[in-house]
Amino acid sequence: MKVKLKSQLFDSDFLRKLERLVISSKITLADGASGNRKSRAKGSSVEFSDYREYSIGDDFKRIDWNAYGRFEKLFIKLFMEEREAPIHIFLDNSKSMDWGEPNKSIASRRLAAALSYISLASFDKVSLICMNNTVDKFKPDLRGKNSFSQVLNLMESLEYTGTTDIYNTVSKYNLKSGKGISIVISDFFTQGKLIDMINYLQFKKQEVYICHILAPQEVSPEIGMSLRLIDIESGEFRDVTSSPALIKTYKKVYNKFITGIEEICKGRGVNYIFMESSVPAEKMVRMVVNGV
Amino acid sequence: MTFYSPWAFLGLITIPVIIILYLLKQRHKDYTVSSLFLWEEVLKDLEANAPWQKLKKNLLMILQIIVALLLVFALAKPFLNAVGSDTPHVIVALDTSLSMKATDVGESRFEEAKIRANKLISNLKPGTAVTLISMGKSVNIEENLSSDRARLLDKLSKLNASNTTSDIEDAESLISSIVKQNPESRVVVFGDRAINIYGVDVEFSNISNNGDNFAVTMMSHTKTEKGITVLSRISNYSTKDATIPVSLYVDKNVFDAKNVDIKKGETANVYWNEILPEASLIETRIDIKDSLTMDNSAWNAVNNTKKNKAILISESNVFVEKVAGLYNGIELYKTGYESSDEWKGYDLYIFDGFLPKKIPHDGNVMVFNPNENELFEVLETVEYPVLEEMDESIFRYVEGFDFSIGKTKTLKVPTWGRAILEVNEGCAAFSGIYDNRRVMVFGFDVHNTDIPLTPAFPIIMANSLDWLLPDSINNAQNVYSGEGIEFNIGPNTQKAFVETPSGEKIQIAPPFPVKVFDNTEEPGLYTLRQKTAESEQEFYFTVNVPSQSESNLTQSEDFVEDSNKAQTEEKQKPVNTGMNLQPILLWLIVIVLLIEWWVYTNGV
Repeated sequence: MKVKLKSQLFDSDFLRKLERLVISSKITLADGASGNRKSRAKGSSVEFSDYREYSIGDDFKRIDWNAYGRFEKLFIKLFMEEREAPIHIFLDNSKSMDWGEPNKSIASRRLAAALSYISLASFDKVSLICMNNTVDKFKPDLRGKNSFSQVLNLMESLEYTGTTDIYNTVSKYNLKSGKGISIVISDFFTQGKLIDMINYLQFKKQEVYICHILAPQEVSPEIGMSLRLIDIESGEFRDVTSSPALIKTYKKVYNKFITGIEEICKGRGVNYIFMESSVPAEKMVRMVVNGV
Repeated sequence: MTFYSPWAFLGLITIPVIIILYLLKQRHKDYTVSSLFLWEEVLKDLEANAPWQKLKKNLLMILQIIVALLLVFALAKPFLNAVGSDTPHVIVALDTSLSMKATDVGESRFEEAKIRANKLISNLKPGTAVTLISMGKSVNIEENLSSDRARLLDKLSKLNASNTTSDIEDAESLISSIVKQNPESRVVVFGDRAINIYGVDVEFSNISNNGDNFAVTMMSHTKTEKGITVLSRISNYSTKDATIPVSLYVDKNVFDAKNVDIKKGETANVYWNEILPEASLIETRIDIKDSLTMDNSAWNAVNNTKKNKAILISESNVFVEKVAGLYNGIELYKTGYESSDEWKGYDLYIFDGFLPKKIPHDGNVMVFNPNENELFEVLETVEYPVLEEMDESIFRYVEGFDFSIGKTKTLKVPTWGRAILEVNEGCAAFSGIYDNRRVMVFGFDVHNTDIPLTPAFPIIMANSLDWLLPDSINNAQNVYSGEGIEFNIGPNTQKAFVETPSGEKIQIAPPFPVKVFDNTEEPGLYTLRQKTAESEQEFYFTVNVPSQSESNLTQSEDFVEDSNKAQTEEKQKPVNTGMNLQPILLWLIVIVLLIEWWVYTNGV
């Protein structure tokens, strides 16, 4: 695979690992259908299947005007429906993701890129949507490994701005109907209801993967003395004085936060994968693929 | 409440300083986090669990302000006023008598008195002058008008209870005179016996728990044919009848033991018979634990009466010879004038009508009708003089006996002597101590008087011989702790020591004449050793505690009649002490600092 390396974000070592991942990993729909198989159903793909007579209500665009010229009858072209898995990767690029050591933005982009590569290699249709409080950038309907460079370009050029409002933004994104897989990568530091987003995606017949990425400093914060905590997104601040009680309460709140998300996902049959930004990308991918 | 260093309130300026420092310190270090999402929850949770959480932010500051306030107050020397605490002068008197050693109050009554006095002095307002008086055998001013608290407390801590009786009268007159000089004085007495001074308001801190006590209140012995008989008087000063085990120790070995039943408040006599006459030290001991142990023993020393060798140098004086021969304790020798060189080694030389040129070097001297000599001057011979004045001790018991002198020589009283018999013409007899030897001179020959024909003669002779041959100790019978003893050191003694019960050797002579020996604080057996050129003489005497006056620890309760009691109680005002708040504030500071430390480390 030849990709022009723009930065250390995706080094050759990472791409080599991706190749190996393709062999061992594959994201599959729950009913077992895969993207690179043709189905018997007639649909709207490019591959011609059959003709039939026009009947009221059919799409005008599908009328075969050449056939009309020959037979002076209206015929509709039928095409083969491809049962490929449309995979949507929603990547949170709000400012809060650009934080931590190792940085969550790097880990999340690597994960998104890796998942895209695997999916493209499996002839799945990949849509990559980067969003903060609105859809920032997106690459819809990428097919084939050749499109991977677009993924990389997008990842490389991604800027982290804005606030997190991933639930609303996902809900506003117009998903095409049909079964598919939606992977949401975020730190989920956001107001709003996760359940609404899951409901929406499931309504759109999506199999949902929640990839929760947090920096190790968010899991166990190291705070000494008095600090003014400044929100990287909003600039708001709170003054805290370090104490065992503070850390203890943080742990409590943190556990509540994680278990809250976990329970919602479990209740809705959603795959929830928690990972710290220190976890290597290939391991993250395996976690996603194996649904752990 | 009074503040004695109000300038310390300037320290209040530290409080705004603390607040400013906190405001400066409050600038938190900026720390960017990915989101306040969780932190908001954390802070909400913390506030919910500790409603005073908002206060907590400033808790350390508040604690520090409290510490600063307390420190300022402590430095301002706050003093809680009490009645009488405004007096500029306080007389603190402590009873140091034997009864204060009783252990019925705390460690002992005296320790308790010291604790109370310490509290009083510590809590006096700064600048108050204190006169510290100890009331023992002698009343001493330990510190006079001192405001130096540390010095006073040091002096106080060094005071000890004695084995003596306290001289209450002396104390009363001393305190009374101090109060006259400083009318604005407050008098506080710590003791077990109230002091009443006319016109002085005495605050009395009664330190007594009416402890049970048994005591040997008296002990004496007599020599009989069957040996020594000892009488011990045992007193029960407790509140109930008791059977008291009493032992008699002879030369530190148990001789006999008895159980004596004594009703409360009563005294019993215990006799011990047939004690070997060779015994030198007899001790009566009560073998029971009580409030005061010092009075559970009493001692008696037994001295073998020494025969004094006396020589009468006379041609013939049957009167003197007979009387001196009858005198108890004298071994009389008689000689003529001729053998004057051999006169040596006698305790008493009686020269009758003759005095050698060379008076013997040893022994005391009695002279009748002297001739010219070097020792004193003989003036003239007078006839039928009129008797004018007689010495009280030598002519004791002879008033009323009429006697007259036919002829006598008048004598010039030397500087070392004093007249004992004066007639209208001059001195007819004198006595004195010359070169550590007792000399008594009568200017007449007894044959020239009618004295030998009257009963007065043996009495005068006995009195004279008593003076000339004294016991080693004048008042050896009842020596109590702290009392002074006059020793009569023998004329040949070159060196004299007293050995105390604890074995300490104290030299009392030279220098001569011997001073009064008052190192008698310790009860028990004392030995007086007199060294002459040839030999060493030992004389035993004992010192006992004044149990008769000190052993009754319940005096103030049971032995005071009801009406008196009420009066006494009325007079006994409780001791008012002001309160120095400084130590309390300092303790509070320590406590607040500990709380602050705890808050800081636990981050409550």
